[in-house]
Amino acid sequence: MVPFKYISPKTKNEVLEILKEEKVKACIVAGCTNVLPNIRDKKIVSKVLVDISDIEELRGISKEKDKVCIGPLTTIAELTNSEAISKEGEVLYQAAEQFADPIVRNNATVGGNLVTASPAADMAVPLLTLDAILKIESIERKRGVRLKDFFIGPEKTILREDEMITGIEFESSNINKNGCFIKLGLRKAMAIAVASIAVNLEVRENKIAQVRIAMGSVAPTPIRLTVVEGFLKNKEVNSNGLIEEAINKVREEVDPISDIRASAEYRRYVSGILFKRAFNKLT
Amino acid sequence: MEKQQFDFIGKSFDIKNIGKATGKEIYTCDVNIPGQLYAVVLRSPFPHAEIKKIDYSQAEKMGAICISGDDVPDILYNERIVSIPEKTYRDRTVLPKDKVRHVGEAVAACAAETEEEAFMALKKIKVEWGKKWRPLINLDKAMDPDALQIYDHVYLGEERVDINNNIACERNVDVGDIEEGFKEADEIVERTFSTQRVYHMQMETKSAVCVPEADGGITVWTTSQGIHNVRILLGNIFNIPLSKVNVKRTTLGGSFGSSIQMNSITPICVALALKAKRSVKLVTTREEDIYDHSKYPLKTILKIGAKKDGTLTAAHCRVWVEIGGHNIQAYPYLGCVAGWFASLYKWKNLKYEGTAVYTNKVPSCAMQGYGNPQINFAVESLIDILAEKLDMDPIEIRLKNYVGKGDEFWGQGPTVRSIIRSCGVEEMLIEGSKLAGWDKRTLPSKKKGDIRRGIGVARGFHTSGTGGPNPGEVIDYSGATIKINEDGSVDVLTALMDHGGGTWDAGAKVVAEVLKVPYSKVSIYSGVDTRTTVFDVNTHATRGVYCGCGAIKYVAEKVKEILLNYAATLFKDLPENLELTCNEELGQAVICPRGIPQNYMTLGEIAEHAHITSWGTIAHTATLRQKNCPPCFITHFVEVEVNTKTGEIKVPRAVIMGDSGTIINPDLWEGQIIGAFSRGLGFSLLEETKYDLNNGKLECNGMITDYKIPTTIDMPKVGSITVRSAHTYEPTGPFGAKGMGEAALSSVGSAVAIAIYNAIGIRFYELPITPEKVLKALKEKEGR
Ligand SMILES: Cc1cc2nc3c(=O)[nH]c(=O)nc-3n(C[C@H](O)[C@H](O)[C@H](O)COP(=O)(O)OP(=O)(O)OC[C@H]3O[C@@H](n4cnc5c(N)ncnc54)[C@H](O)[C@@H]3O)c2cc1C
Repeated sequence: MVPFKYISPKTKNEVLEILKEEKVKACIVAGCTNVLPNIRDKKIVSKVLVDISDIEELRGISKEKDKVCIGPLTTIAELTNSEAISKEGEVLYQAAEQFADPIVRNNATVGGNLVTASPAADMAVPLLTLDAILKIESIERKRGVRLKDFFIGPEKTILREDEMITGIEFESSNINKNGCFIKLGLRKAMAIAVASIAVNLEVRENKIAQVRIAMGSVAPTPIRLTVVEGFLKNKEVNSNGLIEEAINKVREEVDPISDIRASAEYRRYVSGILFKRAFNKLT
Repeated sequence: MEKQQFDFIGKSFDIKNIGKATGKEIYTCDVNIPGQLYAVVLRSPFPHAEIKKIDYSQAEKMGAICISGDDVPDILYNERIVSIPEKTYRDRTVLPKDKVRHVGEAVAACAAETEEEAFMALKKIKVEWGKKWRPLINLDKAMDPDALQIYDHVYLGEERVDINNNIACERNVDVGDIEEGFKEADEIVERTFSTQRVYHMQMETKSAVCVPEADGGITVWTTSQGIHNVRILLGNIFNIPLSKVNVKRTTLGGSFGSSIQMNSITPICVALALKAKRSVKLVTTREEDIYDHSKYPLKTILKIGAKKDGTLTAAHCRVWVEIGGHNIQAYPYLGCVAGWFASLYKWKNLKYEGTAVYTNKVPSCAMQGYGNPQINFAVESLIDILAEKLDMDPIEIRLKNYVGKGDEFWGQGPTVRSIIRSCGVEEMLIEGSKLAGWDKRTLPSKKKGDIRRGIGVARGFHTSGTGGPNPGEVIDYSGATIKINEDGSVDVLTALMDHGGGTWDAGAKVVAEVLKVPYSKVSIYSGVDTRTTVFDVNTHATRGVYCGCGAIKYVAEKVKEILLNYAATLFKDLPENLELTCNEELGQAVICPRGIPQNYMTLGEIAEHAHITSWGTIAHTATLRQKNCPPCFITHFVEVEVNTKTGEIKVPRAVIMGDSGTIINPDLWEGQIIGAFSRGLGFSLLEETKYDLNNGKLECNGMITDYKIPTTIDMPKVGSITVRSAHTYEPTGPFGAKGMGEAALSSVGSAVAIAIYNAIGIRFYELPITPEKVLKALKEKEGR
């Protein structure tokens, strides 16, 4: 056990002030479902815990004209209760339903999931295929970053020490409405993905007009499979051998490691199978 | 014997244990003593290292009370004293004096006013490590003659035993002549099997609270399956007369065998309290708990022979078990594995060779089945292979060879043998096969598609207790005090432990049945202690109902005798002319002269009479040793669905047949079977505590986020698990009852592996059967 300082600011600006002040020493706490296990595992030591869970302005889902906005404090349970999410970003809805168990879903937040930047992060994968944009703020400036540019390594993001996420947005569009998420775990609930996939697809006149594919647990970060996407684009949906070729390309593009849950070899192989399952569901 | 009509046995009542439902139940970690100190333990980061010096002066400066190996008694002990002393290996002290032998082994401890202060002080304890060695993780490496010795010598009873090649102990058994037996065989099959280490994952982690008393004695609350053994051990280690050691019983939050022995933290807590001269409380974390105990893994080379008609002729079984850094009960374990092996089928000639080996891992200890699921996996898998070779139905070959009524059963290794008097094996195999649709089973070669279904059958058993006609090497007796209160309600005081499986409920029903007192008026209070109860060995070996409740029944019958004798004086009649029945309308037991019900007196009236006339309390205390340790049988029909693309395995359906003789708690009985099925699926498909070969740490680092057991939704749906009981009656058991708990797990792994074979035509010889292994095997088979 190690000593911690705990602060519970009431506004976003207070948080940003504290971050500026404390820099690396600060550790934002949202649902605490990653922070607490990390404290237990001694991966987080002697920090100033900045509990943002009381800040209402960071919570909630709103549907605007052409986009859906999600506050970073929104819990996974709230996603599973949201009509906007199920209509406009079904892939995220499916992922939220498969997330952990009801107790964890009541606490875990979307922002916390993204910033943890686990290669397995279950919210990152569907948000990647929704092509989400993150709103990032520090006391000095605001910026918007595409989620696909956010992750830089296992548990590493481009977020600076004085910055926090203040919003997550994705477009209301045809492709975003047609998505599928599949997670392969060692058991059916409360399992970190051995591999996961999200696919969003828009077919026009039997051709693949747009496709986005993202995977979790098969690379140092959640990734978009841009090579496979490029290969599929403009192809006829049911053309002969398309899926088989795409499966091979999926297996080439992923870059998994071996760990306690599975070997790299197994992950590479099932990546292709997951892709096939997801793609077939959408066509 | 005839099936009897019962008033209480076999019936379900409202929850007895309302305390659990309302959160009011007291577990050890709920016990708080005013002014107590909080203790924490410093654990070794190294798997095998010399301790040169431990300096805790800085921690003491902060006000903490500290102990290291130098502060604990020089007594070498074994934490499990269920076996007789001559058969008990002793290799440990409360804290190690010279060496640590696994990561997570306690090296020092400190206690302070608050938990936080204790942790801060712990950081100031300096351990000067001497030599550090690479861990011996694998069995073969540890047995290598050039391997480093984990122990130089240990003690067996009072005798010094030198340790060679890290072999902790060996056990061999011969019956008949296997060479002759194999000569008679038309078919011989041999395979190597292995099962893994798994973690108990009981809900409650280990805790202890110790109060040093003014008279030099101690009062201790601790997580335990048997309070009396803890008392005896603490008395021995700390040299305190047993009359001054009082161990309190608290409810257990599950155990699965992990608290048969006195937990390693219990004497640490006592040593701290004695040094501090203050009460000390020690609660361990989940991470500490994973580093404290594990199931015994087992490697088996099994060879069996049979004639063309399926009659077995011989079996040769060699097993190795790696036991980790301490020998808790490897010798009786090897004996029990021999017994489980010898008692499954009539081998006629058998040879068994068992070896236990020290490694630098968490000490292994009993876990649900004590070697039974491990050896069952080998035997049942090989019987299935043999059936296929002989072109026999797997059910037929089992019916032909099983050990059943009238045969000899080794309930606790070769020295505890009894004759089987009740057996539902045949009924379970035949009725089960009907329920499971066995005749619709198709061969692996007939299956098509990406998702393939298979069905497998395997049978197992466990003993009910450890007492045979001759006591053998194991101590086994229980006892109780039963008294009828002044209003006719009944108190049962027994040290018998309930792990959550309903042992106390069963005890209450047995008393209700004997004394005809409504179940709700019988109280088995959880908070008794060693001072106010007679000895009970432990709730292990599925002995709770057969032995524990057997003893309770015996005492209840004595009380009934006293009651009838006393009542006879009131009725001016002979006791044998009186009748004791339960009057549901009155909610009381009533006594009347036989055939004259209108002349009744209630038990309340009689007890009150005894009270106001100062006759005394109608009560009795005694202990009893049950002497026939009967097997309780189980049969699993399991259906699996294998996804040949990903290797995922689902279990959509199961038919489970159990034979416990008379079933005392039907709901809880079914709960035991289904619960064990869930744990069995974990054992078969998912769980393993893997080690880093270089640093000897657990790959999950002690975190259960990376140690998965199945959840409820990994189970078949509620309606898809069929549980049925055989129609049997155990003449030596209380009201015809035997046990169930451990039997329920014994054949799950075997049935699952056999079902997987039926689905995809691939045999697995190693558990757990993970998707990854399945996929790899499929690829190899198809030459992909
Ligand atoms: C039992 C269990 C099961 C789990 N199952 C899953 C699962 O199925 N799938 C999955 O993906 N994950 C799972 N997780 C991991 C975890 O629950 C998720 O990653 C969750 O979304 C984290 O959210 P949180 O609010 O709890 O984050 P916290 O633990 O509060 O924070 C996590 C990290 O994010 C930072 N952070 C939080 N909010 C912000 C913000 N607005 N701006 C900047 N930084 C921020 C924190 O500083 C911290 O570094 C599980 C965890 C547990 C304990």
